[in-house]
Amino acid sequence: MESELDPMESEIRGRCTDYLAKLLNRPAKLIDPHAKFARLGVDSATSVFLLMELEEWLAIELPTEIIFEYPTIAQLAQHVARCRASETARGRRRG
Amino acid sequence: MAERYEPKATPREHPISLADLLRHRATEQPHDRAYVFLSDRGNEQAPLTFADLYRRAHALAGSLLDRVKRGDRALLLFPPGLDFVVAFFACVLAGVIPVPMMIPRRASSRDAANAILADCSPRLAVTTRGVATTRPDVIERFQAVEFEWLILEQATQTTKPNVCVAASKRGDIALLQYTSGSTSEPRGVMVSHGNLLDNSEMIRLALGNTRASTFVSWVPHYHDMGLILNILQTLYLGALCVLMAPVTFMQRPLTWLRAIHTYRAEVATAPNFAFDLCVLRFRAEQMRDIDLSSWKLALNGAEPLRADTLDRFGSTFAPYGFNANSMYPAYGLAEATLLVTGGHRGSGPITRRVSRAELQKGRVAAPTRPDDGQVLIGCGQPLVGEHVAIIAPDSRRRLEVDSVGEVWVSGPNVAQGYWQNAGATASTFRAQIEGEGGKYWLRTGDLGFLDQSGELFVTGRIKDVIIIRGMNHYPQDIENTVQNVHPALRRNCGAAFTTLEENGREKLVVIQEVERTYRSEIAVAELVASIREAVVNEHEVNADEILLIAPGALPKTTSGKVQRNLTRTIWLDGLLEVAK
Repeated sequence: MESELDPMESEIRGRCTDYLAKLLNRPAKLIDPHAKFARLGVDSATSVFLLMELEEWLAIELPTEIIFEYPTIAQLAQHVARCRASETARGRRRG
Repeated sequence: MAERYEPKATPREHPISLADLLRHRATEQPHDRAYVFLSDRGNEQAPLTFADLYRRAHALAGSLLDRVKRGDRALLLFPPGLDFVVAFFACVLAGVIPVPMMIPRRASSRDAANAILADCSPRLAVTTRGVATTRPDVIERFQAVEFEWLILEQATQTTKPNVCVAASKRGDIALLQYTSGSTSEPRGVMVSHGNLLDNSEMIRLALGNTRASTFVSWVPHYHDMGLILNILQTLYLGALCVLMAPVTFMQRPLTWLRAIHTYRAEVATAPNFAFDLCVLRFRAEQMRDIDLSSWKLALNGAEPLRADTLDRFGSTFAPYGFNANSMYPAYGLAEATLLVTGGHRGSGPITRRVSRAELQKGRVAAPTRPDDGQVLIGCGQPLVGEHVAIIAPDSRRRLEVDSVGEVWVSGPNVAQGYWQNAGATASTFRAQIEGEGGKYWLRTGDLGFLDQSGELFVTGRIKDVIIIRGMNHYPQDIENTVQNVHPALRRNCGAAFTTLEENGREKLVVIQEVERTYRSEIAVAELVASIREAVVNEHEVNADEILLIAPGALPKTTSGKVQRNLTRTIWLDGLLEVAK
């Protein structure tokens, strides 16, 4: 059973699902966050667009390789949440 | 009124081969930068001057001739960057035939790459140390008798330092292009030195380029438009070519525009979808201080052009100095080396509003009702030295102006044929017009019409190819991938096709018959997801709709071949029997 997600990770997961639902023209509830991206029909162009969407929304940089390392919405959201948390922490330390 | 471009008669050298051309450039302008590659942030990496290029290519040519001989084929598997350019010209100097190839995707079965290997029997594949390290699966997978890998960085100094490279003649094959042809029936277009030089001259005249015309491109070097219209054209002109990786463009489309601004580029080419992507990703803060006024030729080719794309791009970037008259539609295909028709420099595209209903019947007429109108964009006029004819596919008779038929081409840019495929070469490259005697024509498989002024409008296709983001995909390859997923998916009982959505997007639809015996055991959702995964892994495209149907539900010919067009029609009408 999954432990509870932190709010940021949950929000990122939701954003990914909604964005892919729009791009893939499928209802969000049919998009399994634990399915590999290829199984969802996310090809390399779509994965690039997804990363760009997250980059712009969260104001962080995401190299394209992370799609290979974190090949599901759940894994990607977890990683991106971590990235953002450390960015924010860095910012606070600098500030 | 748009300034008319008048081609100036300039004294031209008369190189008889690409090797001549390269030597000429290295002698005439040794220190001029020939190629520059930009990183994903738009930073310049070590540039190549014409002399550098010649020196490195010559050294590598020696290494090639240590291993293979003139006329042998060499696969070139390179990531984006300038190493490809060096390797390509090394082949040219050695008289070895280069076969540019996309590096197979990690998760693919590599059937397509293997098909090319089997078709042209290369003796060698050249790649970089980076590829060998990060993709040992590729090296391992492509092994054959009398075949070896040459890692660029390890190519030791040739045993023949002053390799005397025998001269190539115009008729010699300079390049094998495998951009047409499916996995099951690969087609290597044989492009001669003469073809390349002639099409380059035709392009020069049509575009009005000079040595000062800088080009910026992200189109892959294994795509004919990337290679011939950019890499080879700038060499032909003695101009600078600025290259970027395709993924750099896809991730940050505005970096392409920024590079056009930075290098004061005159020419930048892309398929239609790329112009839409720039509009989608437009952010004013990223466009600050960008001036696109040097951009005189926004060549749009490789897939059908859309009027709304041109309008949106024009209006979005006009405030940054982009002149809508720079939009330059073009049409071509690998079998004609590259370019067949092109617009008039500085005049912008020619559009025509026709009746959609009449066009579906192959006739060009004015719309009778407002909602019947469809805007078509002209692809330009035939290039100097070339003829384009519209032919009825069945009778092979020449059709008159404003009638839709198959586009046929003749001219010095028509390639020599398909590698070791006499049958396909004869039917594609040696067609004759009924009642017009012995001249041979190239059948393009595209449909279109010529208007009164000689402008070509491409309206459709007879050949079975799907074009997504400027790349060709073959329905039979996609269907085969689907059928390989599970034994329940009946062999030769599938159809892949596209339909055009309202917003101009091509939607890929896959319809597949499922064996009765398995139907109770399979979770349909799982099967559909597996199919989706296989299509992405093998072809890098998403099947937007996957429909599993009852056996026998697909319309077939008497010989059992699936009728794709009819399937599309029945599907659009909602009449296909879904598997329960």
